[in-house]
Amino acid sequence: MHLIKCQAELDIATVGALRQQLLDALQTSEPLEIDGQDVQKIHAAALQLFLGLMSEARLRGLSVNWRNPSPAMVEGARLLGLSDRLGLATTAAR
Amino acid sequence: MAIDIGQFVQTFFEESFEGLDVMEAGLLALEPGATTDLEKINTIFRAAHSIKGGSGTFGFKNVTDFTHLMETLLDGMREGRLGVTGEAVNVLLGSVDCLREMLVAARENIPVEPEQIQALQGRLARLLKKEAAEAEAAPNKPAAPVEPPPAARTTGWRIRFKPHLQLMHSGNDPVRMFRELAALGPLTARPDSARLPRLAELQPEDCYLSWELELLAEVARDAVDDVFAWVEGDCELSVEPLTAESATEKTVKPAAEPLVVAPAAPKTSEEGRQGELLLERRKGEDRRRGDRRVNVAASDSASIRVGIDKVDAVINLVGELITTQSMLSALGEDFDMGRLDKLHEALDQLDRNTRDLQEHVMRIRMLPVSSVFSRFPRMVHDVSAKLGKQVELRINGEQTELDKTVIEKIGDPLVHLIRNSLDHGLEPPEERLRAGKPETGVISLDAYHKSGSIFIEVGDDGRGLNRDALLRKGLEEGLLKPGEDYSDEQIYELIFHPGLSTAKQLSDVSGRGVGMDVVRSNIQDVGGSIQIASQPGRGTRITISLPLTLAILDGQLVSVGGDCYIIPLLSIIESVQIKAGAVNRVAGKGEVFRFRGQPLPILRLYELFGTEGAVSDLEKGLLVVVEADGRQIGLFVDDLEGQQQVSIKSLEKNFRRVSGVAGATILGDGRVGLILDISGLIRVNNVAL
Repeated sequence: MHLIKCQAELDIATVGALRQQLLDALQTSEPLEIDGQDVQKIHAAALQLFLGLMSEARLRGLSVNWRNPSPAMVEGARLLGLSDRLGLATTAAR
Repeated sequence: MAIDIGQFVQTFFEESFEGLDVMEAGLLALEPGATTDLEKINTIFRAAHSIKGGSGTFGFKNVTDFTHLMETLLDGMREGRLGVTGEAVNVLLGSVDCLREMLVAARENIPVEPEQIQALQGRLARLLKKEAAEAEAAPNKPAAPVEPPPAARTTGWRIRFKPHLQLMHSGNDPVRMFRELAALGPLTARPDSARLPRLAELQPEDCYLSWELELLAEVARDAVDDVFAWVEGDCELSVEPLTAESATEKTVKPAAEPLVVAPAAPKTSEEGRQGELLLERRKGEDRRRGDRRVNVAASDSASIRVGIDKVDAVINLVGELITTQSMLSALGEDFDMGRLDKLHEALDQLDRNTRDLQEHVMRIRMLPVSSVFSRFPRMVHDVSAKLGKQVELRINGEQTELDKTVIEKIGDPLVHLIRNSLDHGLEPPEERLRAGKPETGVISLDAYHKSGSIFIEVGDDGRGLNRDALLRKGLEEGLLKPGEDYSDEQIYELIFHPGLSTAKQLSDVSGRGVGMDVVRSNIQDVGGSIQIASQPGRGTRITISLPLTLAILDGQLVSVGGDCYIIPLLSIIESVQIKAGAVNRVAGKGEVFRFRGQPLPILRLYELFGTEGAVSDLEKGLLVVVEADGRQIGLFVDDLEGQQQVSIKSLEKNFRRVSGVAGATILGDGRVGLILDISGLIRVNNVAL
């Protein structure tokens, strides 16, 4: 299992780095887990990247799970209507 | 590529200061009690809204909170709930000042005085409370009359939002926008990710997603438009009303894609509305290029906004220059004397192109003088209220353009002159009535272009200068000689004399002239001059003439030894050949020449600059008499060469500062010529003496 640890602020200034982080994680070909508990702020660009990660992982047959997504993260996904596709809806309900 | 938000901060400040000016101008234009001018209030509101949005994005919370209160008040005015009273306008004007200080503090990273902010916040809140109380007292009056219910009752809005790829580049965040929408009512977002590429090809700052949104809230269309106002031009957008019918149909119909409903955020949360960032979306009338206020200019960034037309003009000229150049190279390839005429023609054209290009490049540095003038309506409003005078300010020619450097330097002198006119020139209303003049005094501010210079005139129709008092004072101080006849001009000139006139000394023209010496020296620093005209009982008019630019000067070339120096043409009085007999050597004071009855110190340039091979015999060379700061000196040179325009290159930047030298230039033959700084030379000479 490979853990993707998210920074506190996933804003537009950090998405370049986040994309690299996600691409590196995919390279491991291990099941992925995203730790979102520190996320205070999330930009649509970051959520878009996670969406890209989900489809990429699906293509490669890798599983992606969330570990403690923060309220900010869940809210962001919900506002953009991406909760289900990111798998954040169930987590939110839990 | 990651976007560095920091790079936008400076833009935010610049735009905010511009926004504040727009607000100020708008507030001053509002007439209390008159029918509400919606367009004016909207303009003010928009400016406040942009500042609020930007400050929220950059985390200047105090600015956001403060602007929010102002915005609420303005909203009340806009919707007619709150009258446009003198009090409200004054509180808002005070708030504009306060905001300006807060922004300066934020930029300089210094703390702000909380008292003033709290006091103003209190006053704003009181005005708002009054509004609420009034609304309660008159219950039959609709609370919010501006939102007329649409003909067909809408239950919400369907919004198709397809961002362009670059939408997020300018600081927009759909998350923030949708949060703002969700604050209005339950929001359903259906994303479309068809455009999303594979992760490896994805540009993280591009926006690939698009949405279909349903907002189930009976809000005005404006409320929805507001959210998207900042992405205008960065997306495809359609907003359609949702009727009761279609909404039900929608909810019943099974969703093909997952439907997620975001609950309405609590109404108190304002943060959702902070998402508007410094987009390039600007309404034409809001734009005022490059206003530089004194208090704002402290750390003035070295950038100017240039109209695209000016840049295009330069590009056109460069195109012409290239044509000329290719014409010349074609001529040069197989040249014979038979084509000499063609060569001359091409060279003439080159000359024309170069001059045009120079002129147009200069114009890039030019700003309309309105950037200075725009602060005066406010100042006149404030000062006249304080003095209990009625004043009308008439501004003409504010589109006249001036070099940026000059613009920055004339602000203070103009403030001083206008204050003087307000304070000392214009009489109080009762005195004006007694003098048979209209109660309201007029201060005029004109800018115009004449024969290569810019003129700025500050005039008033007040009491004029008191010639007798000035004459008396001049005699007392020994500046004038008793028994001699002086022209009005010579006497008015006295007000520029440092320390001559203070309120006490000159009862009638009290204080006129305090600091006038500073005004004059500021104007002279930028190569300008100042003249005064006055008529007792009719008013005073002060005329400032300024050079178009500081980057080019008309120079007289002089030779000293093998070197060439440039003397600014404006400072030359005349050039004379002298007789050795007319020169006296004053012990310890160097040489002095009797010039038109006055002793004139001689400065031999070859001695000062250590030039070899120069003419040392006074009778064989020439004496160029120059003047600066009211003092004259004779510069001894070998000979005069031509006169020409030279472009000034900074010596300080390329070498180091040399006293007596203002800069350098490259001459037509490739030599470097030093441009003399006349007032510096006079200072150098005084030290040497």
